[in-house]
Amino acid sequence: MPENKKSTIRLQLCFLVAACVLPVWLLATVMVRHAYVTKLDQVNRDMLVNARAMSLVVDRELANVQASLAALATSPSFRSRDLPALYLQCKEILRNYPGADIVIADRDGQQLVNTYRPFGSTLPKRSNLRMVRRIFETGQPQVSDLFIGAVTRRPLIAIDVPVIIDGGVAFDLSMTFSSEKLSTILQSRNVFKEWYGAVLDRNGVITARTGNLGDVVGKQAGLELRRAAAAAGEGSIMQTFPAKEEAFTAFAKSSYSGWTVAFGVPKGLVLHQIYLWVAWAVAGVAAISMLGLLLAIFIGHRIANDVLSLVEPALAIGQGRVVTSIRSESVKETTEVAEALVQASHLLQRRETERDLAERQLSLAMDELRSETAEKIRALEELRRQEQLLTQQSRQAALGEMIGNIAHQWRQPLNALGLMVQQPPLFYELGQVDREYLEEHARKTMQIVKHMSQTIDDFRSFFRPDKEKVRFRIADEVGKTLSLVDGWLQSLNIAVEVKQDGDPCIEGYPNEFSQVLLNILLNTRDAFVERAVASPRVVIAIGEEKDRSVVVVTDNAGGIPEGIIDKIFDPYFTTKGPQAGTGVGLFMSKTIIEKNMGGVLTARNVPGGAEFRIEV
Amino acid sequence: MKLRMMVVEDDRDTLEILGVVLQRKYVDMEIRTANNGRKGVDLFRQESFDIVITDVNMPEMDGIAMVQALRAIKPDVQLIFITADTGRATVEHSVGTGFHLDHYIAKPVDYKDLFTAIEKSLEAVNACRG
Repeated sequence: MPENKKSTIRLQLCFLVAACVLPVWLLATVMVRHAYVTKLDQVNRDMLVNARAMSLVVDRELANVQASLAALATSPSFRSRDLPALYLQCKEILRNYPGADIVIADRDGQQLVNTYRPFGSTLPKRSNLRMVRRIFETGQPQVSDLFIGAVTRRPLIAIDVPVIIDGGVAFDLSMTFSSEKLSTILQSRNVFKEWYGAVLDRNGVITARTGNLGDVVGKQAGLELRRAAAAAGEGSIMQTFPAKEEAFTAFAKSSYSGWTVAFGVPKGLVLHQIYLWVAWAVAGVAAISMLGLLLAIFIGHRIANDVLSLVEPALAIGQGRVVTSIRSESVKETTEVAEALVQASHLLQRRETERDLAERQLSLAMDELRSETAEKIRALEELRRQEQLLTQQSRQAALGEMIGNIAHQWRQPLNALGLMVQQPPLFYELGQVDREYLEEHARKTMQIVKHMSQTIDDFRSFFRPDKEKVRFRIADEVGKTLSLVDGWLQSLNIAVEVKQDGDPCIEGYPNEFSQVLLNILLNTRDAFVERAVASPRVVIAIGEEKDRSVVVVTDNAGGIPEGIIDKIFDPYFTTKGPQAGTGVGLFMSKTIIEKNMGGVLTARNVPGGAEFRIEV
Repeated sequence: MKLRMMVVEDDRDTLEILGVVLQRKYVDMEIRTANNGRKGVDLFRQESFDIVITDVNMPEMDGIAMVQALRAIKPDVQLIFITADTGRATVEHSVGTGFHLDHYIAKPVDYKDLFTAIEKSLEAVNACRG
């Protein structure tokens, strides 16, 4: 992630808080929604309860009136049609019902007594004739709808009870009272002043209401309420008033009178309260959230500061400096990290010290190694020098040997040449020098000189170092070598037999190969001389075995003593004493055959003598 | 009676040259040659010589062995050694007492030395014959 895209720890902590707060917000939303619904439901239920209660109150009131009337109906004055007495009795009852009047009517609805008027006044028929008829038809008490009183011309409510005489309905006893009575009862209910209550008669006409009565009493209630009231005994609706706001309305119908009591609350009022509550809730949540965020920013700032306080020491540790303490106070983890950093710093310091020590030790070891290496190189150089010395000694030994051989080879012809040189003056004195003699003498002399020259060529060729491997016949080299040592072979009376099986050729250095043969023959010769062998004999067998060429040199000099047979190829090993041998010959021979030519040189004893075997 | 002289030498050239020169120088002498000790002994047995000139190092039988054999046959034979390698002391030791130092000639041979040795030997032979 690019450096500038990385968020700060503060931001991360704010995200964390937001992540924690978000579900709370969601829950709060759900709860607010739930509260909203519950509150609405509560309002509805409260109104419904009040409607029911009010309905009961109305019923009780009406039942009281009915009970009083039923008691009056049993008055004997009815049987005797004693109307003045009845008038007085009615007035007596009305003392408990101020504002109410009692009317006694006959079957035709003709009012006989009306307490609103003085007794004896001329009275009209009842305005509510239907109700009178129903009394006489059913013989059951009746509660009227709202009607306008025929005498009082006021909106009235009437409760009629039949007066039964001799099993038949004789009179209609009715108590009428103003709808204000119900309104008063409504007002007396301890409800919120913002609420409005109404009592509807069975026709849906408003018979009583809180507030301004004059405007609405006697008018039809709203259509929604009337329909709902017609459909069910109780319930809640949203009522819409023309040119007015909507209102939550609950209603309950009286089983006794069939009237309906309704309570309503303007929607705006209810919602205002709920919205206020919601607003408070949202504000509270927002405030708490904001507080949480501020707290998160504050804590984040502290944590970030703590973390940032680790940066500089960490960089210092990275640069290899020592950190003794880190100021980190508020967050436990960063304090632990700080302690860890300090420990790491100490550890690093310790490691550095250890590393320095190790480096010093390494350096010492390196020096030691270097000096050991130098020692070994010196030893190797010494060894090389020794080898060079050996080679040189070997060459010198071979050279000495060869000079000896040349001397031996030359001694005889040199002697002959000397004799030839002295001959002319001798013969001249004898008077025997003539042309023929001189020519013969010159021919003979040149013959000897050429022979000597050939000998020199042979030796020079032998001493010329081989520059590169060539393919050569073994038999040629055996012959050449034998010719070189021919002098002492003859003088020591050593019989040499060459057996050849096939004509093997090998890759290698012919002069070095000759040198090996020469060294073997020299050893053999020395053994013959040392042991004064009577009939010294050397057999050189040239052959092929498998894919190798083999030269076996066998003598009859009595063999190599078992105690030294393992050492004869060691450098400087000699049995001949310092004058006779250097101990280099056989060592160099083995080196030449095995290292330079990849072959094998071995020695062993055979009956009567030793056998040297060259395999290439 | 002619004096007799044998030359024993393994080098063919030397033997040939010595044979020719000594014959021409000592015309009155009988000169014979042999190319190794064994042949020298054989020849000596057959013909007997007054003076023997011999090399020391030779195949088959060297000069020392040969003269020991010849002394056994003829003790007063005059011996002249011509040698390259073998020291005078060795020759004297091997040959035994009575061997004259002058009879030892180192190679390469100077004729004057050889002739002197031969002359002395001849004197000795003649003295014996008296």
